[in-house]
Amino acid sequence: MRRIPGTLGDVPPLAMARGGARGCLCPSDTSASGATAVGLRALAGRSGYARCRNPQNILLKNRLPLLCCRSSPPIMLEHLSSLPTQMDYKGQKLAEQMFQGIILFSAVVGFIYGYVAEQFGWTVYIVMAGFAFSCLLTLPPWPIYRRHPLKWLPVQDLGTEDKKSGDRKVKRHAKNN
Amino acid sequence: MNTLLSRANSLFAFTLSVMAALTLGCILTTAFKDRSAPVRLQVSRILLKKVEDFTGPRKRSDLGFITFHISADLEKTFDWNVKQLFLYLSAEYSTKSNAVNQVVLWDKILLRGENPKLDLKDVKSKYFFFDDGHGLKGNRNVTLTLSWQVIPIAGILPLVTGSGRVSVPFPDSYEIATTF
Repeated sequence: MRRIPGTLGDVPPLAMARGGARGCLCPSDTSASGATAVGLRALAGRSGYARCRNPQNILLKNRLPLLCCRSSPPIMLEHLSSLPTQMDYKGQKLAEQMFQGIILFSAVVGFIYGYVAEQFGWTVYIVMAGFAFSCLLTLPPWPIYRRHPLKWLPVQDLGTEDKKSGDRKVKRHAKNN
Repeated sequence: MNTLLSRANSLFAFTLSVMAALTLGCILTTAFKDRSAPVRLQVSRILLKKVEDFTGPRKRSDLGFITFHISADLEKTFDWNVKQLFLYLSAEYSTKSNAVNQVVLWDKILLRGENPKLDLKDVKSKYFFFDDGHGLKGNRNVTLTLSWQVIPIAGILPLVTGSGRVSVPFPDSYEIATTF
């Protein structure tokens, strides 16, 4: 089915404005596309349209943003939630020490400055600045917190695994009896 | 501490605990400070009237109008743990029916940052100086004192009486003003 340019007039402008320059990420090709694909199909008014055709893409990019080839909000949220936020254990310890140190330091500096300037408000501002700085430094998983990844055991082949689970089952029966 | 939210939670809780400790430190640095200051009071004019008392039982009672001058230097009472001072002028006297009467005549809120050196002239009383009866007429000794309540940022609110006080006699007759 060919897409006729100029039929996007019935599409609401909000939907068209979404989606950055993500290339030709066709919603129907990704896994989380069920609702969006249906929505797109409904908007396009034609059944089965969701496939990107490259020549048309190039043609239409200059004129109107193609609804199908930009990612829509549900997909962006998926990408955000799948961003890695884990640190390894040594990294967690480092992060905790860092933020405790930063906040304590800013507390001491703030206390002294507030006492000298005769305004408790300055103490509060300095502690809040320390809080913001340590948020920035320890909340996102920077690479320094990932220098000691866990060493997982190597994958065991199927023969020994079955044997092990069998052994376990036998042991359990023995205990119950 | 493995997820972003649990890290954010422990960070925030730690900050709040540190803030509470700092506030306690702030209280301790100013808890035992002496907050009194010298005050100079002067009365310039007293007028006595007999008016129906609308604040209590409706009988005709003495109503006094006082005009006074206040001068006080309150700079030492302000420090980093004081938000404002609540000043009030009170009159104390005794009558036949009551041993002690105390009436607040005037008050003022002095914020930190405003001029702490008070020098007010010809201030009229803000509140009605009613007596329950006729105790003010010819009263020999009515004492005016300026007191203040220190309102801190954190901690106890001390109530301090200024050191200066002035005693004035009230006139013997109504509707005749005495000036000093």
